[in-house]
Amino acid sequence: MNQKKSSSWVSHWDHFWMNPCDLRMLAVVRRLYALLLVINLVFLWLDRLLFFNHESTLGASFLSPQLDMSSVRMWASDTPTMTSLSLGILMVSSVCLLIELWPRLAAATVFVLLANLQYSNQLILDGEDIVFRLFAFFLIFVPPRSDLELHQNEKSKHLFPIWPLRLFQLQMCLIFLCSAFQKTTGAAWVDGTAIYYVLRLDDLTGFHLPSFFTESLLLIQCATWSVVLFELSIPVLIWWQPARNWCLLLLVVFHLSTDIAMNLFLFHWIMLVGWLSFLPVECLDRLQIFPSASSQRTSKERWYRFIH
Amino acid sequence: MLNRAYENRWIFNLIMVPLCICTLIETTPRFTDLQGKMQLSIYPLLKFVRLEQGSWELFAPTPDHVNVRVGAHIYWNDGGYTLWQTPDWHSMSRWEKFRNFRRMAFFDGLWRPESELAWTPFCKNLSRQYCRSDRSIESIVLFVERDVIAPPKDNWRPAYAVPRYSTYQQLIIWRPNE
Repeated sequence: MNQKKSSSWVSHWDHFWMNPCDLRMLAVVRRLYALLLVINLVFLWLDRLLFFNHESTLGASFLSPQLDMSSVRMWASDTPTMTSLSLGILMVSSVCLLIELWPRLAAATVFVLLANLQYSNQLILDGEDIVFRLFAFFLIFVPPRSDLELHQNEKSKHLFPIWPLRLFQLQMCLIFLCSAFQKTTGAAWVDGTAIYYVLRLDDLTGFHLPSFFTESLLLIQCATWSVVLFELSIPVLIWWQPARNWCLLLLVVFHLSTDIAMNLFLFHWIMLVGWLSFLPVECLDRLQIFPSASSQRTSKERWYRFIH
Repeated sequence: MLNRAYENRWIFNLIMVPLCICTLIETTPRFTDLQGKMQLSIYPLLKFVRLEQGSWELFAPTPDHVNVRVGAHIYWNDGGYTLWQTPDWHSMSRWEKFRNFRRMAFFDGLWRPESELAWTPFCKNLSRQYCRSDRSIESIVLFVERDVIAPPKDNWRPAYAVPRYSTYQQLIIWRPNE
């Protein structure tokens, strides 16, 4: 009995991670990730002399203690030229990801250099930087687009297991759940005033929200509690197939509205890219983005019939 | 490809399962002392492989409720002084705030006690920026001014109001020869 139970548990485990799947959505995730990374790097490039290297605002005496033996900067000189070179290689790698040229090598390069850059100055780090670094790591395991599609008619040539997609999905749920649990322990989230404080922080506010909302304690409390409820429920409900599309719709509304109200740079955009891993792959066929070979054939046939 | 991947799934299990467990221990809020000890022992390993991710606080458990302005008085040898201050975030447009996001994060971290090591290099950098041929710098006093947002039941503050910096705290007095 126990043996039966454990074998079914193992098969569930294998099915969860190793089930063959059409992974074209990861090609979309990869491209959008690369696009956001390019934007991120452009802004880092503009401030590179301020934040990274011996002659920067912080200088070597502050930066050096944070380096360890695994850091690239430990082995290379810390000059403005090296910083520019490092950012330049990062930029080339993200363009390679964008155009899907040696994507796995590009992702590995991005992961190493991005981690190195982030460790060089942790004062400018934000949550999105961690997401960027982790996604680069996950993308190392995502094969080129030609291997992502599930060809059922061909002899198991392109059957890639689902686990790279699972890494993205679990990471997104982890972020939301951890954040929600942290919030439940905070007095301001429990009494519903957290958003009151956030909307009064000088540097983090974005476009101004209407005063009937910002000046009403009741509405602010409702918004605060709904954020906690949202972050607790979405990572659970999104695994339930009938609720998935609604969850994704709510996530888009949540992230976009928060991005409008607050200045959090690219955080909400990179989160939206992560949530794309839950989007059914059929959407790509419908939108004709990276269409599958079979749907391409069908649309060609339709076009042929239409012309003749 | 699947067959090979399926046959070699032990490699995946060997690497990814411990990694997922470590990540889970690191990220979940600390409920017990044992978990805290495990977090402390796991963190260096995750940091070494660059896969640490912290506890995903995202304005939790308590959101920031202080507006901060970092400033410096640059005292000259002739008795005069020059005031340097962080940009006025309040008067910035949405685009300017987006553009200066990294600087905001930088100054928001600079004044905290855990960034104490950064204060001296920062003053040195200020002295390089303000270096003049006709007079030299005697000292730089780095300080922070705070505007604490009171709880709404004590003193309701309208959203997007201009911050009222009142609490002054000196961080460091830097002299060029020290």
